[in-house]
Amino acid sequence: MNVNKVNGFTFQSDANKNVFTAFCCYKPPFEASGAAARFHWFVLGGLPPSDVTEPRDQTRIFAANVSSSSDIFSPRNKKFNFAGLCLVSPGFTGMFCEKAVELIRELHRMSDGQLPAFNEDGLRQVLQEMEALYEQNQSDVNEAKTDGRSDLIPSIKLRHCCLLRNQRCITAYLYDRLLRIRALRWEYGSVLPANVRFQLSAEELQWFGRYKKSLSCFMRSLGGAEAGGEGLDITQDMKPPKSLYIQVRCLEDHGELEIDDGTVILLKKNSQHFLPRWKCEQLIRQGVLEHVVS
Amino acid sequence: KTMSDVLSDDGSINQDDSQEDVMTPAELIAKLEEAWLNEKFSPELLESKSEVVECVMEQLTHMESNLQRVKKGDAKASVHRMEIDRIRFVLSSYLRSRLQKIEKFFPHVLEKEKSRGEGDPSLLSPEEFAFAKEYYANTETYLKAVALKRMPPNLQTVDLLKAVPEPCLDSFVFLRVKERQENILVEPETDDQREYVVDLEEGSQHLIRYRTVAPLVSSGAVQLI
Repeated sequence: MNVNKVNGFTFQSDANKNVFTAFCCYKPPFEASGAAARFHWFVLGGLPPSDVTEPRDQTRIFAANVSSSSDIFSPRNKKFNFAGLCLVSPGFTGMFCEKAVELIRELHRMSDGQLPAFNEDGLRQVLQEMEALYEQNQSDVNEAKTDGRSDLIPSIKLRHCCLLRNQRCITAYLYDRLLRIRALRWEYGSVLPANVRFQLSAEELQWFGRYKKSLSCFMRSLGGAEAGGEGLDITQDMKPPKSLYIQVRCLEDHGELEIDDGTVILLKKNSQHFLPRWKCEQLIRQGVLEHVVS
Repeated sequence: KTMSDVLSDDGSINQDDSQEDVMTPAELIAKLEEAWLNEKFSPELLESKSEVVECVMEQLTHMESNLQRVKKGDAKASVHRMEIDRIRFVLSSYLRSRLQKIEKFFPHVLEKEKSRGEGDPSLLSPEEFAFAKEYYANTETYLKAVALKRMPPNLQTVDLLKAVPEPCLDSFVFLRVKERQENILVEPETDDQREYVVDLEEGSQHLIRYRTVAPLVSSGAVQLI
């Protein structure tokens, strides 16, 4: 049994050097001497190579099947059989899909629903990686067809997996942001505070505008068209009513407010009022008024 | 009851296309509260209860206009006001619950509604259906414009039915039994369990997987709590 230690990886091969068992998971192991290349260890099932010796000698992919990325992440000490490693391209400096995962992590870090600025650069980098992968695959596919190079198939499959992963990460990133933006409508009302608007891309603002419109159309139509009423604003009444009137303090000048019985209140900064609760809800959420609990 | 004070007519409500007899306001509000709780605690979107929503909104309009006629400063006014606010809260909360689920499961909800049979009850009200379609189109258009059309040719579509998760029907719910049920089959959760049969006594309360009782919720035999 040969045991080799490469960059924290321990891998064993059987006497015929046919099957390698690796302990540890997914990370670029080392740089081949004499070439600015990185070898990527991937979990590959299928046919073992017959002539794998020292990893740095190898420049081709041998294995037949590429397993899903979920196999790549293993708890410590879990063994995976892999039949080789691949040199994906000379001078390649990182793992595939790293940038895409970074986008996801960016959102994952702000778990309370906050919205970071739109990462235009990050998105562009992932799309560029996808374009490069696709082009490499196109040329490999042609070569495989015309020259019968079936040994290229594993790398084609690998790149395809990475393309799918990138697509999935990008759509997850964009969709999760939309969910956070949707929550903004319910939190702040139809006018977003300037510092929040700043975090949205132009297209996200368009999405928000269409969402707002759709929502208000829906609310207006409640109760049936024949009723001829104004519908129901379901973004109000977010909490069960406890008391009819509440004491509020004005945090900023907001002009005049008309209450149901016709009275007009002047909302001047620092003034306090005893107002109907349902009139104040949205203004409290927007930060114009503050509920004074005595 | 307060509502009968406020209503100036005989206090009953007509439902246009209902096979039931005329409902009292109290019965209507009870129906609203049942629908509200069921919708709140169910993991999936339940059948649309448009008639209840419309009747409750009519009711609220009645109550509001009657309230205008009450003398200002009359103590009754604030109690009636509170009643209106409470009903409006329940109605809003019910509609919000539904909208949240429509947005969360939008491709599945639309698929289900499009493929239901002629005689089957609607999952979505016409307004909700319009909203769901707009939400779908808005989101799909956005994803295409910002990312998908900039991707390689074979990756320019995303199957939203696969990408958006479905509701988890195996989540557990609390319920109270309204109509006695016999021989409810409970599926095993793990391989070493076996399926078993349980009777649900009227008035009893249970914690059970939603999937097992889903048809009972829509029939009204059980109430989620």
